[in-house]
Amino acid sequence: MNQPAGSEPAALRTAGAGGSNAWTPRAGDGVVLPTGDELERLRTLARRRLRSRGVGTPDLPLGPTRRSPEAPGGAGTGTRPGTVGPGGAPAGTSLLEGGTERTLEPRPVIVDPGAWAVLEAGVAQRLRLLEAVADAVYRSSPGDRRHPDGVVGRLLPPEIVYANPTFVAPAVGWEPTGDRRIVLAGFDVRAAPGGGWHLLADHLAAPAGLGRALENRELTTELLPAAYQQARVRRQSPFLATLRQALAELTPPDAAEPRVLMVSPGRGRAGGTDAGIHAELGELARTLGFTMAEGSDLAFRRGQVYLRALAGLEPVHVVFRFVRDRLADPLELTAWSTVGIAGLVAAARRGAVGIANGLGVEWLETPALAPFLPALSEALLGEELQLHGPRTWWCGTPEGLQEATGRLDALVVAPLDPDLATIDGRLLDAAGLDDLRRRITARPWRWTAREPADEPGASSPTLRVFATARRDTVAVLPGGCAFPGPTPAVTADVWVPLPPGGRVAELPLRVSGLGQVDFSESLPSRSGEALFWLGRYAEQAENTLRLARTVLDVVERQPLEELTRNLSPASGPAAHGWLHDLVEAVDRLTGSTLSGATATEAVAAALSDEDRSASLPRTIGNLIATASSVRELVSPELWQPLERLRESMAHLDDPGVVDDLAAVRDELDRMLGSLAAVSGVVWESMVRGPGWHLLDAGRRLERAAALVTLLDATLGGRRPRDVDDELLEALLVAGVSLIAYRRRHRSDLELDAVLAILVLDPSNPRSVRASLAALVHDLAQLPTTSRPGGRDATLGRAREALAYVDRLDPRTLARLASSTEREAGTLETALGRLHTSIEQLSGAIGDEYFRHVWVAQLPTGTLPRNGG
Amino acid sequence: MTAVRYRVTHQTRYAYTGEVGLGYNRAVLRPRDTGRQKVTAFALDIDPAPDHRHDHVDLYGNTITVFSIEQSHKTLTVTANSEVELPADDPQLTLAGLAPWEEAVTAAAALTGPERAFALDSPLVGASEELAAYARPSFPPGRSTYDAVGDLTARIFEEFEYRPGSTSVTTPTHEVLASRAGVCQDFAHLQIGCLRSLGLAARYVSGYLETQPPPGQPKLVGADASHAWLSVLLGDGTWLDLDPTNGLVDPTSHVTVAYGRDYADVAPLSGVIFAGAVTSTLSVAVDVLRLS
Repeated sequence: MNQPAGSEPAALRTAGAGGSNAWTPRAGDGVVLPTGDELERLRTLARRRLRSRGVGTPDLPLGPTRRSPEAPGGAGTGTRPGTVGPGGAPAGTSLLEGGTERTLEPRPVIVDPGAWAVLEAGVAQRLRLLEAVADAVYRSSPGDRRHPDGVVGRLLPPEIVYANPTFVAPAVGWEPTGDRRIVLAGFDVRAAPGGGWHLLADHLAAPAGLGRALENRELTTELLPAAYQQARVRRQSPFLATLRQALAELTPPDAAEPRVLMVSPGRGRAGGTDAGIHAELGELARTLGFTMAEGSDLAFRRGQVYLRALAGLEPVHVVFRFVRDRLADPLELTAWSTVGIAGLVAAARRGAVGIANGLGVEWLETPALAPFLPALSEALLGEELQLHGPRTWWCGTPEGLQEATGRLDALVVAPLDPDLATIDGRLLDAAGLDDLRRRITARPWRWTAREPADEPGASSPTLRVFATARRDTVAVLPGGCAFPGPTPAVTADVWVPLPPGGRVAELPLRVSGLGQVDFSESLPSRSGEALFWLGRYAEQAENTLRLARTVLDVVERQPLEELTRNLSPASGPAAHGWLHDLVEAVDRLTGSTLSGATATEAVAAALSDEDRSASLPRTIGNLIATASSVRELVSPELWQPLERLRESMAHLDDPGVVDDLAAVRDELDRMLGSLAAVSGVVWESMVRGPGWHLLDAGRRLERAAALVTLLDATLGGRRPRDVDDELLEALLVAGVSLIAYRRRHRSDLELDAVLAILVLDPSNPRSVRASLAALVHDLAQLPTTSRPGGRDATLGRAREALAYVDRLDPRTLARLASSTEREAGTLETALGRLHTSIEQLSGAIGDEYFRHVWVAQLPTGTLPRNGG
Repeated sequence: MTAVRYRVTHQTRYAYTGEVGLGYNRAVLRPRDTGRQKVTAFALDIDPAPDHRHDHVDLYGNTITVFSIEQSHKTLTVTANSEVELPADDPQLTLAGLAPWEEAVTAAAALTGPERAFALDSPLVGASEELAAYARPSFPPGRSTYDAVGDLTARIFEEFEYRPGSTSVTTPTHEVLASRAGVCQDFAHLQIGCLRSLGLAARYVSGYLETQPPPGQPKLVGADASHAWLSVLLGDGTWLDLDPTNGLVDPTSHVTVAYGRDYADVAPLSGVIFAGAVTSTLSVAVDVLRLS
């Protein structure tokens, strides 16, 4: 095989020197882009907008961690089993990339329509070419009918295919559904100094950035409405319609109601792709209208792929995956991968599922392919290759090896394994160069050398452009994602103006093949679990804030000696100690068993101590992280109050605030306001599907549990005559029921009346009774599962708890505990019983709907050796 | 030419400490037809019965069975029953074997199909200067391929101790080289690494040995378990089997199951389960009977 002497960017060189850069903003057309102070203002605004969408912000600490199925998330200070890593390790909430906050550069990159046409044609050709190469390699190597001479070995060295760690051997020999492997591809390009375009990288396995391109467009048009109108920018929607169509075309022939599912590598788990990809996939999923799941939400059963949904298994026909090839199936690809779908290859092999992009395309990203593409293009497409990258040599040929080792100090060297680092020869000293030369000479086939892409003078930004392929068409997204700075965390929109005379209204094509199917009742179990915990965390945060504020109020009002007396533990009839008990409630609700030395210290710990499992920062962190994991399911308006909560948390840490009680209380009030806004968004802007009912169920369960804990900590073990009015008032304040009480009773605080309003009152939405009633209603709206007993068992439990509360009587409750023998219906027995019921309900809901979330993926066992 | 028939029973069993809800496995247990070996019967019994089961042929021509068990189970037993025929004749010297080993290097470099990977690094076996240095004394320039690879096979047989338990599935070759101990899988990997380091193509072979040797012959090492050896590519494109564990060149009664770049391609049974916290115990039994 003759390797060309480097891939010469002939098209670029002949494009004429001195031509204007293709990306120059065309101010001459009246498009005015911001500069100076105005630009800075827009940058700040963009940052704020991104934050209020819940992207770009740094993480708060995440709460604790996995509980085994044997110990399902308890009521009281509930924390969510699984998914959130220990010690807050994953950097998940945000699109933090390389530790930098993700931001938007408001100035779009504007590409001249003529230059764009060149790029569009080049990119479209490249996608067709890569598809043809993938097809030639995987269709079946021996005796390929379409390419009788074999592409590998003749046009392509076998080393860069078969010895490439990203080559997927199990993908050889069968044809993917729709006869297509590449549906969506990303290409990094840069305008060449002399005109034309340089191709820098191909993204095929998990092409990131489309979600960001959509989001950037939305934000940029908000920030620059006038410029956007003047520029007559081409729309993104026709491309998205083509993408949906292309995905629909992968549906296996016998699927009646084809369903496309997006598969993300998950939050915080890089899986070899950008850590932030989960967030942008949420954006994409929402725009495309596909359900998003993670690999373990899918199951291979009876030869098909199914989604583990609330109601049971639901068939999936096309998997639109953003998980790298090698991680896509722990059964046939990489056993330790937990982001894949066990059995995916088997399902695809028998044509039961379409996969986009097809398994095995990742190796085509290798830079070693570049020198062979011109000849492959001639052979497979009958066309001259249009888009070239920097000159590249594969060292596996003598000429390539000679060129590379001869001037290593001017080249960038990439190993065949993409997980190994690329080496910039220009940065090495003589010893380093010698060492590298030795390593290359020892196994030259492993190395590819290329001219650096950042040649001096190339100051134009890198653009990531996207192309999608369906039956006989390749569509290129007009625009894309620009990286104007040194870090991928900063991106900008790309505008492609219409050519003169072009029409703005590009109507999206109607997607055939994806019929109108109502998936509103369908929810991945994992998402259901996240929404359930979203409700619980929101309520948990509210409860902690209210109780903390109540305690602070009491502290401010009490004379010092009273305070001291009330803080000591109750010992004997004279010592009231109720403030001590209130503080104990704070501790119990925030997951601590240690009481603070003073009430304010205890409250401070509840509000700031990140070691407490359910302290305010942990709860708020969990709330935001959980919301981020189901971005595609929650209203975008939710991010504004969540961002305010995050700001308040940071504010509480300010040195000026920590020691100023009034300032702390102000901040707590602001946070309660933000949480009320969260409730408002949930209540007013979320469709009443199973997801909403789970969220509400979580909230109600948590509310009942917290109230039971509060009453138990303060009234448990107390005699009626030892109950202070001040304690009763504090309980009513913490339970948001003081005003209701005053309106109803206009009297002094009576224990039985207080308990009636907190525990029994069906019209007080904060009461245990009302919370359980709402819970019963929510559970009744959830789908029935195929589990034995099914939903009705869980529902029965909730109804039983409700009926129990209905049998309670305020006067008996107010006896608290009988001093001698246990008495049915006193507060102490009732709280014990309710506590158990709520714990059991929490476990039952988990068993019913989220059980698989807790199941671990393990190896079948020790591998049997060839031990002879 | 008479043929010898063998019946092989290979049972792999996992016992779990708790219920396993779902299990997915890949079995490489069906002996393949080779130039010499003919498979006359094969049955793979899986208990509990799989809910889905599908055979396919991999890149190297091995038959792979992928199966899933979608019911709760506490044990998994996979039993492969095979009958194969092997010619009873003695090994034949070939011209390619007598040609200088450098010709085998040329042939390895000229491979254009998936076999090219047999000459290059694979997940468990990579070329290295250490391995080349160990191998080099057996490969003076111009020596015949038979003599060179035979000498290397004999040296590994003599210099390395067969010691079960001293290595694991993933022990790298340089550790085996340093400790001079291992089992058949390690010796096969080691010799493959040596040959690849010199530019030769070598593939991993999994299979079986006769459990009870014919009268008057010693029982071979590895007869009670599944065995592993290797093949090296000769200058004419044919492959020659080498068994460093027993010091054999071109063994005639080994039963071949599968070829691969290394163990990872042809592990007899591998997969994943979905379960709570369970542990498992593995037991393997192999029985190879001469039928005629």
